[in-house]
Amino acid sequence: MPLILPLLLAVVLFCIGVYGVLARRNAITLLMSFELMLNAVNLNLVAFDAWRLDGLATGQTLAVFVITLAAAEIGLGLAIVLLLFRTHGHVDADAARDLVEEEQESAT
Amino acid sequence: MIATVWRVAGVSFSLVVVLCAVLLYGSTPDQAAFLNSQVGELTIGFAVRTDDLTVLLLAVVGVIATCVQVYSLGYLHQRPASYHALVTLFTAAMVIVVISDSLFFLLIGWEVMGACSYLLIGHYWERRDARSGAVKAFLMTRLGDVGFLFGIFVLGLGAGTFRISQLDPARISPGVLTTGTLLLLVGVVGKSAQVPLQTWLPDAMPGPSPVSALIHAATMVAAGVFLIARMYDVFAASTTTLTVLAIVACVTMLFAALCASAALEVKRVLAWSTVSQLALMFSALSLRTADGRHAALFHLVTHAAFKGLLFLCAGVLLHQVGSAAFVVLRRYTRRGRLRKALRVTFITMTIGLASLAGVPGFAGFFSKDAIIEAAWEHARDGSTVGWIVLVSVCLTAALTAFYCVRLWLWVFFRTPALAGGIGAFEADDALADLDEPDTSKLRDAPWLMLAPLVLLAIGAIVLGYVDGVHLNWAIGLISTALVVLGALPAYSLWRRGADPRPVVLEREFGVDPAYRGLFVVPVRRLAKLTVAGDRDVLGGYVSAAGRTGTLVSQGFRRLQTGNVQTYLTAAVIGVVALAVLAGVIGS
Repeated sequence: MPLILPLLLAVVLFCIGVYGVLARRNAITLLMSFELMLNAVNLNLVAFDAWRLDGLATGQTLAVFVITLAAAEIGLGLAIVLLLFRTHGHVDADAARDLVEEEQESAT
Repeated sequence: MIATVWRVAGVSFSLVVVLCAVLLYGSTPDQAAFLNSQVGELTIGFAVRTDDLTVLLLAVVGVIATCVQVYSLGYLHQRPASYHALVTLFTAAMVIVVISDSLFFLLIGWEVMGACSYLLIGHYWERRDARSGAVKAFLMTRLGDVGFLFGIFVLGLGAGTFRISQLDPARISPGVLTTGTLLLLVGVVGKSAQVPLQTWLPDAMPGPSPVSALIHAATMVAAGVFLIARMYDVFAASTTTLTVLAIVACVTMLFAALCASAALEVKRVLAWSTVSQLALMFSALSLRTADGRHAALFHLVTHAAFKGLLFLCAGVLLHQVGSAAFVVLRRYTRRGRLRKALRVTFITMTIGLASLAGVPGFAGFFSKDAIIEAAWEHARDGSTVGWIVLVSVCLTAALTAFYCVRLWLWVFFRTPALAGGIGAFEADDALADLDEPDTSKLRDAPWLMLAPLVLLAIGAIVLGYVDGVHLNWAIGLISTALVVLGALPAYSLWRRGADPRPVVLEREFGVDPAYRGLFVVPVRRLAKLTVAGDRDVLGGYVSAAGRTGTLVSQGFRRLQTGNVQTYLTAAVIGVVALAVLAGVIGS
């Protein structure tokens, strides 16, 4: 199988992920989009590993690492989303603007 | 407690100085150097010496300092301890100047004296005139000291040594010698308050009277005369310097004597008379004869006695009456109280004034005659400088008699013609008739203060004879005639109750306003300009930089929207842009 096909698939997946992160408002969707991006990276790793065949399977090892990290990240992310829901009553990323810079005219 | 310790220390230190002078008297001249360090080819270090001049000055300084310290016990018993400590330091600094054989060691004493005089003149720091007088004294003597410092450099480098006893005028090239001595002369003029740096001494009068006595009699102003006497070989080798010295001295003695005859306060009269008498010593030194030097030192000693005495008397007047201004003293004199209440002070002050005026028989008469004689002998040899000095000294002698008699009569005597009526000073005094002074409480000072007066009064008579009387009768007669010539107008004016004071004399020839216009005002303008430049130009740039930062940050603050997705979008755009850029550069 030519290398280009899995890479194209990875690009498509990554772009969908980026779009989801930037454009969707639901925090859970955001997390899912992160997962998409991570998996696109995984696909890249595995594809290059199969292409290079270096005998150490570096790409596959790294992919397993990324999967582990993704699991940890989604645990943390869901906890944050849960807290957001508890305190604000919604999971809307757009509306969670607690860190906005307040307008103040006192120029020092 | 501390004050007591310092009082004891001060008196005993002065006594130790006297003791040193007594022990060193008659011993062979000796010198010692210590703490030398080699700088290139030059040796810089400390050195002391003892010779006749040292012993003489040590005796003068010690006796005057003892008198002043004892007198101060009564005069300033409620003032801070720093007073006695500073007077002791002042005396010690003068002792250093007197005993040092190294120009740098001498400079240390010289500068410490300047600092002490600043602190002591400003002793009554709560008074504005005392503060400004202190600052003026400090600035003017500093101005002279700059010249002094460079004079030391020039002479020391020219001669290859900083030891005074090893300065050999024959080994220094004439140009260097003249430059060096002229620069030293600047320091001397500043320290001894000669024209054109004379104005600080009369303005130093708000200081305590014992300090004035110390400054005028033994330390500070006498240091200038001492320095020229000490380095006489070097100064005598430069004709230019001595001519300049003679001109300065002649101008100063007449200038100061004229100012003294129009001054309105006892201490101010005395201050101007000090300037005038110092100029007398300088004129004798400028004659370049051994007699001249001897006469100058003789006059230095007698002057120390009678001027110390006069300032201590003025201190008694200040202490007992509360003021030394003629106007205030006249309120008491008009009622005939002052002379009777302050009997000892009156008698000692009379002796002091007689000595200052040069009345025959008193010490000042002999020393002034010695100067006139030295000048006459020099003039007879066909020297122009000698003639100038002779004429100026004679004129000054008459003027001195004039202002002494004026001071004496107006302060202590009722004018007979007026019999208590309105005289010159009462006419000036708005309170003369309204303010009836309480004369019953007026009495003489405690004996602690009077004892130094009596001692110095004896000195003001006896010191004239210790040198042996070498009186030239013709010159004695002439100087007596000059005294009478000066005293008569003062007497006749006083009899008529008149005290004409030409405006130009009363304003002291407008020197102070002139200096103000020439130096003070331009310096103030320059200072204002500097402040404006600093605040408006440099400060403008600094605050503009700050404001720009604030304004820019105001713009950047709007970017912080709180929306995570906006931030992420910016990050992604940035990454993509960087990637594209990397691709473009890489290809």
